[in-house]
Amino acid sequence: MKRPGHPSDRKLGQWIAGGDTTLDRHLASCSYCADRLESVHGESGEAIGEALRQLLSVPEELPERLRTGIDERIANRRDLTLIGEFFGLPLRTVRVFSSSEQEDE
Amino acid sequence: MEELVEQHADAVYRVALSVTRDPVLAEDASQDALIKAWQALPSFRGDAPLRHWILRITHNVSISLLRKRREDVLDPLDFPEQAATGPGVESQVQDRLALERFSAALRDLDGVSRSIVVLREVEGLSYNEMSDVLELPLPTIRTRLLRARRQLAIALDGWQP
Repeated sequence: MKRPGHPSDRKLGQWIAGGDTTLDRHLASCSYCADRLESVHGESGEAIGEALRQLLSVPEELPERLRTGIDERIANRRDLTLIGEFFGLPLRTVRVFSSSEQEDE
Repeated sequence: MEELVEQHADAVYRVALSVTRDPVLAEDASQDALIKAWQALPSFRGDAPLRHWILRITHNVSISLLRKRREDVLDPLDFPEQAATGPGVESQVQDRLALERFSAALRDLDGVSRSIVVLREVEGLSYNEMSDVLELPLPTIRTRLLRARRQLAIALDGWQP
């Protein structure tokens, strides 16, 4: 489907594949063609999604590692807060210690 | 907290990895983001899905963490290496080469564009949802996504999973 003044589906397909660079400016400002690109995108979209999933694969043990790390951080912060309370440090000071402790990890 | 980790760990980690490009930093950012989300949960207004709110926190935390660490890291790490898939040796090599080109093209994108591509192609967010998560205007989302997809498609050069 093509309206006058807009590139054809074939041209959009060529643009996606790295061809016609003269469309760059038009596509950056035309929401009608941006919507059309979504439907033309089809196959290359699936390939991009699959490649991303392979590249950004999530380690199997991630949830367990996150739980452990989060528990440790929360425990560290609790300890720092207790120490701060013991020495009568203002909450803001404890937060500074707490944030630099995280950065050091 | 258990529920947050269970339901959102994968998406949080992928967004963090897309920004930081470093698995270790991505795990750090994921932990930070989940703790922040958990602590701020009482203030969550519920006018957007919880997942989008958590991904926004993750994106911001990842960028902030990357800025802090950048001073110590001269050359950002590549994406972790992936084993090639496919039955034959030739197809494995082709897959490997395509993914290496893809990895390089992804590395060349700016952090926001990488997040946009991941949110769209992996997490399946709409343009409006991405605009909400990344706090960017729709035209910016659209333009960056178009450019990023194009560069990535060129790198894949017809590769099919």
